[in-house]
Amino acid sequence: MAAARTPLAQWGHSLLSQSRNKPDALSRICLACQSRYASAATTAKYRRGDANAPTKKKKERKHFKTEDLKNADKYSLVEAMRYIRAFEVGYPSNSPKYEIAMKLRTLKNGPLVRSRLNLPHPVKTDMRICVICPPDSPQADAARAAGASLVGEDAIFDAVKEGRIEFDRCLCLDTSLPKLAKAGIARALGPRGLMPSAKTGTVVRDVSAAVRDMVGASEYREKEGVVRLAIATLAATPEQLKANIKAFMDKVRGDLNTLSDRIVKDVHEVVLSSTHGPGFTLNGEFADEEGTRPEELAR
Amino acid sequence: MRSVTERDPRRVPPQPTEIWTAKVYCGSDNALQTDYISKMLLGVRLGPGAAVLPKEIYRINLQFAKSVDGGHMGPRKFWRNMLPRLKYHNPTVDMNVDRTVANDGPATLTLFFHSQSSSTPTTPAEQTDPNAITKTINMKNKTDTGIWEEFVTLTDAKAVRPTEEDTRLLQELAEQNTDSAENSARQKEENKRIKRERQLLQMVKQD
Repeated sequence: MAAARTPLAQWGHSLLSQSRNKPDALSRICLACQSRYASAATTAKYRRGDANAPTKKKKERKHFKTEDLKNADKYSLVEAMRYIRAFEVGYPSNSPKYEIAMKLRTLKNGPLVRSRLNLPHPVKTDMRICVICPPDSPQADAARAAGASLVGEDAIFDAVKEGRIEFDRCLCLDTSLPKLAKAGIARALGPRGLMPSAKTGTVVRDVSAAVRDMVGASEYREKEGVVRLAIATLAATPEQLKANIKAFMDKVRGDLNTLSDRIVKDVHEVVLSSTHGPGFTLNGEFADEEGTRPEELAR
Repeated sequence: MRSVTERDPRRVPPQPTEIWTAKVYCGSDNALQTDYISKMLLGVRLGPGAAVLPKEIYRINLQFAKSVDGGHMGPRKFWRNMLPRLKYHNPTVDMNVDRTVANDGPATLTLFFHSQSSSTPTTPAEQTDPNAITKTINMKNKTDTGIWEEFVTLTDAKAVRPTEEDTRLLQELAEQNTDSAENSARQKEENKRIKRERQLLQMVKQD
């Protein structure tokens, strides 16, 4: 941004533009009356599709770009909350959510962070869970009791084949996995990320416990070097939000440590945002010493 | 090449008031640019709506229609432009917007005051006060600024003055705006000239 209007910057700018165009032009006044057009030789060089132009291949970036945060504005949690609450004023307090984005220092390829956690103060979502297990087994009853909205085998397979996918998460009992594999619905579920697999922890032995975990759980995954998650409802107090953020940070740090030894990932930036609000880079503090008091945001 | 280097000292310094009329702006693709957010947030800290309410007020309810027909434009603008600033400076005050009213229905702003006896503001978030006094503003067919003026007279809200840091930012923004206007005017002339030259060249070629 052209915020820096300091004499030093001006001097630097004029120096740069002089050396670029006329190395021996000394007078600054001369700058104003310089020709704006590059010479014929240089335009020819930069003309599109010129075969003779020397091609300089750009070195491909291996890591996702991380900005230097030295000069970035950083906010304490309470200050960020105060702004966000101002931006979200007038919306019903259960509809907008605080969102968190965690930027990682990471390679563009390699394993991704993907997991789920139970937040201390859950963000309530009416998630529809589908459980694949024999519909008249005790397992099925337990799953229904735990909050699964769809339980069964063939009925679900048929519905999915017809294109009716009426759930947001899908679990599978380990003994039903061969049947699921035979049903050939991976093509429908796979792209949506719903296909149960042992790798994502959605093929389980104890279905009811898994459903219970999932009902209050939030799922997150790394995408383009950033992990994003709805972290709390807007009605949360600063303490609640702090607890949720801490739980999330600890969980992700744990995930990062359990990756293979050769993969080094670490947290670069944590940004708090909301459904309608801007993003605030957090500085890790809870409240500023002479700023907003957390009690003020208690409601 | 740029006017920045040779700024005319006789030029009248820009007035740092332009942002006061700015809308509350949220969202940017460029958020990492230094100072960008702090300038954006200036629009929330200052401007119409930036005022501190007396402690007796504990809740503000707005009620108006979802669409603008029937004089419901002003209330919506009030919500969009003034309410965020008010909320920023009065975080403890509960502010609700109800937009379920029909268009021929009322558009009202209701203020809830703690009654004198219970006005000890130990618990600012005290939400149910049976003795609460309410005052109402009819917002129908009024502009957002009109509603704000009425609001200030009714509540005796104290306007927030910019701090030194805010003033510096405002000044900087105003300078940027004037620079930008100058640059674009100059570039416009330049483009015109280039276009004219091309046309002349074309005419010569055709002859």
